[in-house]
Amino acid sequence: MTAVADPPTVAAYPYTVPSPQEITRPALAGGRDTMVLNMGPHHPSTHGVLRLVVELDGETVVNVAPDIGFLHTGVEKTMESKTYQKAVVLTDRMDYLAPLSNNLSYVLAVEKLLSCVVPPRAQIARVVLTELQRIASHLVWLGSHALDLSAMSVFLYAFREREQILDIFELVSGARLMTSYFRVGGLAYDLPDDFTPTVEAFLDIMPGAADEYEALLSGNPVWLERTVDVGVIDADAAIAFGVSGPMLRAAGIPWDLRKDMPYSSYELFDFDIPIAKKGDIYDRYLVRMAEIRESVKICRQGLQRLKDLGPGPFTTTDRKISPPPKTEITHSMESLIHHFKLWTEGFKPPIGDAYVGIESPRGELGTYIVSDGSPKPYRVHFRAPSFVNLQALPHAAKGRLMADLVALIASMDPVLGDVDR
Amino acid sequence: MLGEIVKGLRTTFKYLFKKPVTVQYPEVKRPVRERFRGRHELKRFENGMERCIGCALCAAACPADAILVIPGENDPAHPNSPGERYAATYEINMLRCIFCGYCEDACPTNAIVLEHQYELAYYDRKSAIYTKEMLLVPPDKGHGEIPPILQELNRRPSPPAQIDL
Amino acid sequence: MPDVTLTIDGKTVTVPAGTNIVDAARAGDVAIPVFCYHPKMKAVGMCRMCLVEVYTPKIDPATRQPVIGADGKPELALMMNKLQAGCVTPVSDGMVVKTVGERVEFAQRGVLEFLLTSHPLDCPVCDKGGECPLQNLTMEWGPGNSRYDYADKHHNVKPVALGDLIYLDRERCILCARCVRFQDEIAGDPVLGFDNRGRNWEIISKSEPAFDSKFSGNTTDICPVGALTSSDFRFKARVWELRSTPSVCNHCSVGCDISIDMRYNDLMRVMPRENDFVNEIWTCDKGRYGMRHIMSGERLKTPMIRRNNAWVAATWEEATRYVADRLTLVRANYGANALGGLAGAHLPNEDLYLFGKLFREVLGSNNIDHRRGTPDEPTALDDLPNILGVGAGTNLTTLGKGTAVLVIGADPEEEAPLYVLRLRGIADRGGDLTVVNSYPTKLARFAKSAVTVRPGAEAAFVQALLGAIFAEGSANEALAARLRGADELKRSVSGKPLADLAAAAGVAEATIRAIASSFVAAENGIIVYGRAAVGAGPALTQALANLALVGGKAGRANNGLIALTAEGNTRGALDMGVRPDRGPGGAAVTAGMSAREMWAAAKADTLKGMYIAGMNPAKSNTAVAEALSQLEFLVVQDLFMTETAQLAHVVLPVATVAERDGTFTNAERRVQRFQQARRAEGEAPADWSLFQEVARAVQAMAPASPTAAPAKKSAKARAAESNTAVAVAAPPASWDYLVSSDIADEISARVPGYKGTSYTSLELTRKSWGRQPNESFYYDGTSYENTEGVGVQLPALADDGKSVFQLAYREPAPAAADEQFPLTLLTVVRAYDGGEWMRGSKLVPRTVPAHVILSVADAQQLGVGIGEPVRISSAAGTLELRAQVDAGLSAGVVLLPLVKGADLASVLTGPQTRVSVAKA
Repeated sequence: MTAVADPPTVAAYPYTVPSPQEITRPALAGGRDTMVLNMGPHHPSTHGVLRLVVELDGETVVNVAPDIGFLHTGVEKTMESKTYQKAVVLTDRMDYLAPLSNNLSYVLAVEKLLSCVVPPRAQIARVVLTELQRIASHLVWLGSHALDLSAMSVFLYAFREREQILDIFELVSGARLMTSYFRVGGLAYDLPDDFTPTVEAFLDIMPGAADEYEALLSGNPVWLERTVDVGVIDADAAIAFGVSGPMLRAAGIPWDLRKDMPYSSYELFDFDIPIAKKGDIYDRYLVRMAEIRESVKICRQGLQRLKDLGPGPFTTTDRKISPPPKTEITHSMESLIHHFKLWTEGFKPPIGDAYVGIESPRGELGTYIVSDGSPKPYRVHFRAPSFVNLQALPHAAKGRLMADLVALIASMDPVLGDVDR
Repeated sequence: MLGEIVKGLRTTFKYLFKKPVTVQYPEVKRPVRERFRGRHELKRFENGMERCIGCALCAAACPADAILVIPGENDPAHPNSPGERYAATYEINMLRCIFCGYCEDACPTNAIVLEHQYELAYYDRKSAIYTKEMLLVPPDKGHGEIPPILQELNRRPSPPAQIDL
Repeated sequence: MPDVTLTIDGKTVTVPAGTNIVDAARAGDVAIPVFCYHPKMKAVGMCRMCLVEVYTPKIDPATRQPVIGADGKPELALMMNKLQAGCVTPVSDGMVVKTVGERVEFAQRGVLEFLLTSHPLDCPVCDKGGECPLQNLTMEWGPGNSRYDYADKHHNVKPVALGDLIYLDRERCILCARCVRFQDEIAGDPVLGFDNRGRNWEIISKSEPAFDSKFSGNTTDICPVGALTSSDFRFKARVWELRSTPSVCNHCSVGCDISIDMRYNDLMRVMPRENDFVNEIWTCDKGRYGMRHIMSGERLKTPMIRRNNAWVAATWEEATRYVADRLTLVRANYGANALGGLAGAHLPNEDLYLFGKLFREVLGSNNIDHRRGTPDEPTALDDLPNILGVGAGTNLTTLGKGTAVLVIGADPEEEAPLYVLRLRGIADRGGDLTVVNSYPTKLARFAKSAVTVRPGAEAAFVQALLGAIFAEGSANEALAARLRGADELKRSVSGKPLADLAAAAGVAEATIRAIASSFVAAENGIIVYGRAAVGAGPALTQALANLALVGGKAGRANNGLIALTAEGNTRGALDMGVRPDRGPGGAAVTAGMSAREMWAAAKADTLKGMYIAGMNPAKSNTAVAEALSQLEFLVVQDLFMTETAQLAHVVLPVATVAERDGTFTNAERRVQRFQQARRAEGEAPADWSLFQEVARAVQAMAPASPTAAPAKKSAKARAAESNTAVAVAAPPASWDYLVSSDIADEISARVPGYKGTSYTSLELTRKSWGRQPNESFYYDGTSYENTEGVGVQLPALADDGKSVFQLAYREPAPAAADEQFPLTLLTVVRAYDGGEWMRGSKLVPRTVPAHVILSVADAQQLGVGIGEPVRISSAAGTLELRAQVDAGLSAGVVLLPLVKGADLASVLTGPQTRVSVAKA
């Protein structure tokens, strides 16, 4: 007989997530009593409809349990009754601060199912637009984070720049938020002629704007007081909780799917992965600000590549996946049939499943699709970064002050649409 | 400490002398981009005929099931649209509509177009249902020739080769 | 047939020899695209869509042995050195078929490209769009773009009406001839054909009136493009918007499985639902286009009570209580025997069962019937199919060679149209079809032998068949051990020489011998009889029973009798006890009055109150209308304000078949379930629900007030009644049915034979024609796959293998000569009879007008031309109608179609009426 190793002691495992039901009111040692405070779901600093059950000893957080589900929309289930192409519009509505990232993750998974080749112009356009989306999302994070810590001006400045990005989205897709611009096979329509100058104009001002935000915050003693060494999620904890994105990189781990598992031609781009050391709120701030600058770099390269490529197809020429251009359907019978069938019935991917993860502004956004060979997905599941990252919240909040909890939530940048789906 | 405050306030003061980027909505309306997806319109041809042929592809493509099309058969003497079929009923429930533009993409005659109007408000749910009369543009706003496929009249008898020679 | 093993795309498939490659591939789950081929029809190889690479083992010409290659396997050679059409190439041993690969795909793309060159860009306006095989195949196998110049497309005026029901768009037609072949091979109405040549090649209708077929709607289903569309569904809706509900057609005793396609609450179309046991994948136009009445604006919506000779709308509660009140009053005043009930035999089993229960157990009267009580109805009720009906598991679709079918006294085309297709199919597959009738029928065209007998001589004919069997000593011994009285029968029949028997039937002896021997020798034998046969009297039904038993054709599947009944659920009505002589399942009861007796009693003022549900006996029958108007109280439950309803004191609207759940029993005793497809207008409930309300209200009333003197008398009468009118041994009726399945459960518990007909078992399905998941590509729109149940066939009494049968001999009635009335008048059914079901239907223009049909000889003798009025006189009275002449009709026979507009009761005296005809 061989010796059996003792199992690891479960009680000693520090990375657990309490459930709201667990938080009752245990008496502390010394006869002192704790208070259970309900925070949210309609609390402005919970960034949506997040409910936190907080156990307090005075001002100190003893325990905190996130209660989610207030924004559950059943997106994944609804997709099962939509064709693959129609389901794109539902992805817009999950992480509503980064709809294009959601679009991308979903369409990449479907394209993987179909083994569909996307033309280079569409791939580069997807990179440029998702990087703009990253900047836009980080600007909302920055603005609301600063606002939560009483810095009002940053919010207004950040939204000023974000407005320009939304305008670019309106220019290309016709909608500022719910773009649905990426379709299975490529893009919904070609990039407009004034796309490059408009984006360039924005890229010219963006680094300066970032300097401006940093001038307001980086050396600001109030900001430093509230963020440095607060809400630490170190590398071990981050890995244990499955944290990804800027929160992981702030803990010093250079993990970025754009570099490590490149998709949509990211391998062609030259950019750095900003990382920090400690994994506190300030580090996350630094990482995200650096990412904004890196995204600007990527966008500039992307525009150059688009110029080099010249005009070309913006969606796959495979007529079994992407509807033909409308100019064809008035004279070509084959095209008309494909147009008709793709819009009414949709394409039928082979039986199988596919997973694609992308680096969304919040971390790894993965789409898992199971196909039963019918025109509608059998099952769709999203690995939502906000949901996974939120698990680390109690760990980072314990032992800190109640006020730090607000800063911590803001620094995690959760989007409740993404958490609940 | 004081230096940091001054540094921060310098940024603030800089903007005291700049024009604001905000607009005074609703007095001032921000122009929308060409591709903006607003309220739908049903277009017409130059000769005033409805472009919509009641094919219901828009309703099929709609992810929100916001469109109802009930087709009818054209009276050859007074056709509403070129061809045999037309939309006897065409309704869009604007509360369901998500303005994704799929209907526009699916329309084979470019009849339905998401135009630039975005101020849509209703006092009750019923008035959110836009009927064909509300969506259809006036006859003088038509554009474009009827494509040959939809032209019933002046068709060449078959086989075409005999005439061409 | 020996099996053949071949390889298709690497899969080894074993199929019977003679199978074509397309079907063999289907068996191996490989899809070969087709347009013209249809598994229900012969392959013609017109469209070339099914081109595949076929390799066969090389044969050494010297040794006639396969050449073995270096690797030890037989060497293969490409057949004919080119691609072969899979639908017309039979399989052979060792064959290797490739359905994929560059060469095949090039051919498939090419065929599709050719088809699409002349196809109009109609998808957005075409009704087939969404269930179109051309679209599906183009998506799966076709090119993505066109190389053809649009300006060179073929143009035609569109659409042209092939008939008033079917429109043809010649631009869309790909000339696969599926419709032409369906009409020729399956429907047997060869009314379609090709015309012209080259690009002008087109489908035309050759008949007058155009497209004169009762099965025309099926061509729109099997059309692989949108060339044929039905006027009933043109531009109504998109197919993906439709919600299909499984239903069963109750227009005739076939009981076709149909699918009711709704958009919201509106009927869009009716499609056949496949069921190999009943209708394969077809349905007749009557079922397909005859459901529009459910959407009719003329339907009754609220209950109405007649007050001071004017209709006053009432609430449901008010109306049912009033009905109960008045029925109780009639019973109190005149006794339960003064109450009578009629329920239409198109009502579902649940309703019929509760109707019987209401009368027998609550009102205490046995006066119920499902017949209309017209003089031409046979007096006897036909229970023979319950004893000797086709055995459980019968499937006519599988029958062919080795099957003998004897159709006697029936006109399936008019009585139960789908039987034409099914019986013809048996004949096509090699079965022996014999048609015996006293007037010409369409089915006779497909029969191996068609015999015309004198009206009334049908029994003599069957007796002659028996005589031939006995004379040749060829009686089948399969059932001999279970027969009683066989010797007596043999003695009685053989008492006369066969020649005399044949002469009595008016048929040549050789014909008799041939039919008899083929019937006895066949492995399976089925006897189909219809209205005329039942009308011919019990001598014939008894003779048919004798024939089936002596021939050994009963007690097992695919053997026995099929009776085409008058209405959709007549079999159910008989089983549910809506008849004066028996209770549910044949339980013994004191016989009540039949419908005909009720009319006499009403005239004689002994019948005072009537409850009529789903029947319009006053239609074209002034005598009945008179009788009804004499009643003290009449409640009518129907869809429309019919002639009968106008005479009522209370009218109750009800739900149609599409608005409720229930079951029907068809001619082959298959119980099938239908489901609710829409909400009824005005929330009209199902018939059974009203019966329940009335029953509850009657029970809630205390025993009738014994104040008036007649009440005392009636109390005595009631006591007498209750002694005799014990219906079935059952626990006291508790009227608490919530849904129709509650009643179905009670039926299956209390009606012998209906055991095992719970809704759950009715929902079991069976793969019918090997439909596979990928078949929507090329059979899309053909019909609906049956996923909701094929029903349960009730076992016949003979199925148990033990029961014994008493043979009996009945002397056929001799031909009666009558100087005053020299001709014999027969009433015949017409499918498009102008009944209530036709309201709002596209079939209205096809309604058969009231007329009388004379033979050529009689017409010439009378000097009557086509369309001229004649006067028919009988012992009962006279009737004036326009005349038609039928060249096939024997002299001395006059046919009178049962259609709206002729007061038939004024002239009829029985199933066969002696009449004289004179020019009017």
